[in-house]
Amino acid sequence: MVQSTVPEQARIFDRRLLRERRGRAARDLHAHDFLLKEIGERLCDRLSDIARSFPLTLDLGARDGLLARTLNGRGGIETLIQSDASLINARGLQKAGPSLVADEELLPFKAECFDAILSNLALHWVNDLPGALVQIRSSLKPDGLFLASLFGSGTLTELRSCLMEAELAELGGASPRISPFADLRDAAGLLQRAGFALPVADVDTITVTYGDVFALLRDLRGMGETNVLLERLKHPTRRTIFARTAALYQDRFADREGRLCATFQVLFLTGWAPHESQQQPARRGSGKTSLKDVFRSS
Amino acid sequence: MTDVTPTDRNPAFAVDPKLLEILVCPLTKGTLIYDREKQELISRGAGLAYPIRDGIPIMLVDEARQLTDDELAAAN
Repeated sequence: MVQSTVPEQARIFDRRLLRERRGRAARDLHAHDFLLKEIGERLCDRLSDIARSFPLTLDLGARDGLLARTLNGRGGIETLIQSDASLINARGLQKAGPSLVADEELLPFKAECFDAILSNLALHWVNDLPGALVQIRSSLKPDGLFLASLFGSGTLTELRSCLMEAELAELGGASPRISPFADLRDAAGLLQRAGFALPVADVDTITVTYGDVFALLRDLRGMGETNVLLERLKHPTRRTIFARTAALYQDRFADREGRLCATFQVLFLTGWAPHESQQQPARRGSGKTSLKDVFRSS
Repeated sequence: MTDVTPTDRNPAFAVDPKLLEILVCPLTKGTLIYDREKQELISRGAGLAYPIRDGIPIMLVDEARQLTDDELAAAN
């Protein structure tokens, strides 16, 4: 049976495994969600800056409903529909309002039905981000808002380099362990290609410090954010690799107090479904002042 | 995708009408038929039935049930 519209050779993430990870993380998420909360807060601040109300809004990748709690009445939302890829999460969300299980890659929503679609840290595991953005845009009403955060390419660079070097030293080869992330330079272009008007992409860099590398790994697991790359090693990693990673990390990325720095780069994407009321570029040839005159007068 | 409460088809958990209004088949984006009896959302275009568990529509293609030829004929 078809599982995805993304052809097999173009898939890099195991979406089924991601659903399992999200479900498994549900129970202890509250102990590991400070980063999700912090970024959710910044996302909601951006929504507050927009003097509009969004009666019917979708939270795409809602996890435990963190965004709904953070929103706390902002954005003039009357109905918030919460969607998550894991049934365990969707069951938890049900108390707060309508919830469903959906894959961010294949959205089950009618064209032009939402006033806004919000997504906090759910889209960086999507195989076909341009495709997902097109689907998001088409289920927005004209002049509807898309506002999302996702991890960008500067995320976990320290861990990535240490893991790779440790693996090379121990095994003589390296396997992909940390996801490829979207780049800020690509983000606004992706929005534009998906047909969004007034696209904006900006970036926040957050540095978190940890006592040791294992605390960082525990947090990643707790958030349901561990490796779901299809090409990942399918057998458990040798302890010696982690030991070497920990030593390398300590050596290179410890701050003055000896705590380890982990960088999270977060992209914030904003785009609007096109509408005639939005500012438009002037028609070609419609200018009335000649550049020649401008230069002559100066 | 298993969970603790095997209360499928419990009428206490009706699917939210607001959801029914906006859902389409994730594969074909075509309309869905709500089968209240079986608690399923039927996509004729894709030949699939998406389950509803305790009022939660599960709109995943790999969790959907393939419709039989008879069911497809009946739906058309």
